[in-house]
Amino acid sequence: MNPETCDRGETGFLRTKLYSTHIHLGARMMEFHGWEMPVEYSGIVEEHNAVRGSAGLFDVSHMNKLKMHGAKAFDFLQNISTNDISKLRLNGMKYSVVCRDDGTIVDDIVIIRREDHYFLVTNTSRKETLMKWLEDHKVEGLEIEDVTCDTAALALQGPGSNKILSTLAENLDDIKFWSGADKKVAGIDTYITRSGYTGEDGFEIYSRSTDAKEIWQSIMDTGGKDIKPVGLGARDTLRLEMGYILSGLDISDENNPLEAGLEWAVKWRKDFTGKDALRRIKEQGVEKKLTGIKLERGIPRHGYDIVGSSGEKIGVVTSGTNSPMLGAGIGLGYVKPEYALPDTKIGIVIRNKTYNGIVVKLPFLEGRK
Amino acid sequence: MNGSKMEVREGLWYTQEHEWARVEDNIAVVGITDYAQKELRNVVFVELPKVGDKLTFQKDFGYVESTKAVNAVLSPVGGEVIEVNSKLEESPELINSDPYGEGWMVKVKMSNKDELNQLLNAREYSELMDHLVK
Repeated sequence: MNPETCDRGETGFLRTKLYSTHIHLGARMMEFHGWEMPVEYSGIVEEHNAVRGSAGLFDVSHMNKLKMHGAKAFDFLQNISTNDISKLRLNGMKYSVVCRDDGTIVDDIVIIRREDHYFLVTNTSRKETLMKWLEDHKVEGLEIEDVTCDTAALALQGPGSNKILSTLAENLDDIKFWSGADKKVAGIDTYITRSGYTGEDGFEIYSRSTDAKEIWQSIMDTGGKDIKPVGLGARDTLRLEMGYILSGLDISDENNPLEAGLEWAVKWRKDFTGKDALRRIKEQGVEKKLTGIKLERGIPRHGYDIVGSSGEKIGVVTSGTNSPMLGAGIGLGYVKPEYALPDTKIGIVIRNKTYNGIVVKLPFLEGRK
Repeated sequence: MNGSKMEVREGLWYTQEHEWARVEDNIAVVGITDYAQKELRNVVFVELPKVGDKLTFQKDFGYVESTKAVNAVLSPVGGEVIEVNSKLEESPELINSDPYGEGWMVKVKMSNKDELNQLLNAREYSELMDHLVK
């Protein structure tokens, strides 16, 4: 990370170029893995509903962003990715997992293939772990450039996104789901992908960080009453309704992609770091499985115990919230495989009391993208 | 936020941690204040004690959860729970819409009315609001 391009507040935390915009909008700010970020503006539920119903704009410039250059960039990425990068078209986008030799997860990543480099978006909470691991494994002919502070990232999400952004950018329809294109937004150079973390149609817009304010303002002005600024609070409730995992919470150093339900991103016909170990785990069967849980009453939260019908511990909650759409406590957690079938009755222990729930097939919310 | 926008009701007793008690004879109705509910924003779950439970002055007796946070509620009085607001089970948002009314949490038969002397009155709690909210 080039520290000269990063803003830091008097609190010592990093700030995106939109910090003053967030303050002006009345955001409640919070420290998030070294960054001072907006949790909410008008309120998590209102923001959540705006994204489900029309549109919301997120500043996600804190996300770790890397460029991988050099003759060996492809070989390296292919080697560290459980997913197959060879199939990636120019401007295509792929989700992948980086594992250690023993099959445990370093981080999950998104890879975008650009003309002369690969652009990676990775998790803020896992940055230190990932960067150290990359440093330890990097090869001759590979350059890794951290562009986190130079590059802003906005996410425009919701069924109204296309209409709003189409006013500011041309031919958005040629950006297919999970791919990107260079586009001007309100005359400013950006790179737009049709993707997101909410389950809605939407775009992620990358730009020079110094242009972020102008792009944000153009989008907010164009959206008018149909758009709301959305903080990290609703980002979490939105992703949880879709059952999307969050690295650092639902997957971490102890987990492997098989137990995390990520086998779809593990390609057995290619080589990658951790493959032998994962192969063995697959043959032996996983010890636990990440599952969706829904409670009749109460809210599952990170670290709460999951118990079976006679009160025996069968697992742990990794993340949870109250779903604004379902009006129920939902969460993700690891349980022993025999408890992972949908409709299995389970309990969650909240402050020494057991609350009844069931295992639910993901996503919690049907009929989204 | 602005201090004057925080409703403080006359005639109630308050804690520094933003609980209130409305006292009649030896019975106290207990809830959380307007400031507390605004800080929490959307209340989505309330955990209450059971009728017959003994509450201790200034100790946790329940929990109010928003989407993001879990907040313990301290009892402004000691005594025995004689009624709980079971409406909050289905409609926890009553704490947001009417914190001093329909959002009440428990009724307590007080064991020691002298404890009230350690609470704030409406004027003192208003002053606290002015300090907290600028």
